[in-house]
Amino acid sequence: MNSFFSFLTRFQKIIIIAAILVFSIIIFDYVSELIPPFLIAFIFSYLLSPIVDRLEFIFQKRIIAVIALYFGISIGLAFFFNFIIPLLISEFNELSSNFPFYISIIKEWSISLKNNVEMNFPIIQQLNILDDIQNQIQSILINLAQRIPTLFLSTFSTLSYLLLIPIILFFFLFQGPDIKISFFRLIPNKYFEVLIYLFYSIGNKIGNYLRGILIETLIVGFLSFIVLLGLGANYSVLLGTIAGIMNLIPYLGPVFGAIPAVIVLYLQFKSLNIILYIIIGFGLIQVLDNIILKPIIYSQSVDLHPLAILVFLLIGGTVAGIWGLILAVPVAGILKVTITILAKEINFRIKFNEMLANQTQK
Amino acid sequence: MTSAFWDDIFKFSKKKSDIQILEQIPVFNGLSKFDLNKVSKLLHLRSYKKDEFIFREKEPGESMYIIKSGKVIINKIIKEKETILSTLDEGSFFGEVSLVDEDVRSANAIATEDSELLGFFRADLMNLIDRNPRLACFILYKLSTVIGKRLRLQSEK
Repeated sequence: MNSFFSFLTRFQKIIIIAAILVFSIIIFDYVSELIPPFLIAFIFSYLLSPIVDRLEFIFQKRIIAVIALYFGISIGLAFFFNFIIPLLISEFNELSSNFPFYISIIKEWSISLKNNVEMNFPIIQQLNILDDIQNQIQSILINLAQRIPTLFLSTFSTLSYLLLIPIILFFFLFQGPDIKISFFRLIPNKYFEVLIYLFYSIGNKIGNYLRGILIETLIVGFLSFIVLLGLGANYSVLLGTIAGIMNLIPYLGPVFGAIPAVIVLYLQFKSLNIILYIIIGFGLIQVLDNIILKPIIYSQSVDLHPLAILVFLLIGGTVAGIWGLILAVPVAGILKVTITILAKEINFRIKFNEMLANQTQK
Repeated sequence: MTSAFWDDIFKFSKKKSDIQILEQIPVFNGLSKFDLNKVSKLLHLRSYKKDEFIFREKEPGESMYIIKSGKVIINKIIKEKETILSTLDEGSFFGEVSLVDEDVRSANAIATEDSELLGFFRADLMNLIDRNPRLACFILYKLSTVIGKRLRLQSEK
């Protein structure tokens, strides 16, 4: 590789690189659909490679370790699809079909509120403000109800993804170390050691962070499900899942996660006591999450300033809606880890070069 | 001018495989072919031009290097004078302290002719502890033997 490039002058190199860039931009348009499965497979391989490493210790051969992992995952998925997914879908359909009923209750409530207010402040009646507000709320609610199914399914539903990702993931897991080494071969000697160091230290931290987030989501979701089940809620699996995923959004997430549960439980039992119970239950989960889980997960990797989290949430929310909100903090965490390590390294390099310059001056 | 009549045109076929080179390095000495093959998959092959720095003093050290072909000198500036600490050639290794120590390099390494080196990284060794503890343990043991021997010789001087 190096000897090949050494034949070329600097100008020729620049032309070749420019040509490759232009070519790749043209091609990018055609293959952009292929990038998400690769990206998803890459992220999964990041999360799963430590497991494969440990399995490799048991089975001695990496390919057997990967196959064993796939076997385990497929058993897990079979369980998931047979028991949890149908449950989720049936709960979901039931909730959707009951949605007009819930809306009508809210409407009833808002009409009574409107009459109440209008009786006390007759001026408002003439301005028609409340009618406007009511119509607005109604349209928002109906809109939301129609969008919920697509919200959760559309992003990952393409069948080709489901076929492509496992195949790409298999090769990433099986040949990950070899692929890494062939990539490293392209790095010039001068930056070789530094870049490998950066790659490993950043990779380690991000891996730990993502695994931590995943475990946190699973535990919070599961605990929420247990609490809801204990209270005898109707859609406990669905509501628990929502609470777990929403928990990824800092500060507001737990509230977003609890709102559907509170509404459903209130409409189911028609009592305020149950709301108190569910708030206490979710509150306890939050206490557990903040006292035990979060310190373990974020201690060695990422702690972001609350203000920075808010800014990232705003950006994520405006760019990509609900998924933006959910993914904002993981992405911010990854960025922070990368930038901290890079900044440290660049700082060191500047000092190091100054030292070299001093040496030559003497 | 080289002539095909005198030159060693069979040199290419004599070129040792990575495993044959590894076999003779004290750090990997005593490993089976099977294990050596696993180790060889972790190595990074790098080629250096004449007079190119492999690493510099005070840089953070991350790896040990094995010379596959070529020559390398280890030097250090002592009292503002460049002192050559060692000249190494094919089959030698250097920088192994970086595998166990996260400190900076204590000398420069420079290729004195076009060389091919095999780099073995600390991160890979740490990862090997997860993947194959028996092999990693053995390498760490051999590594400490090598470093211990160096210490003993140094103190006897």
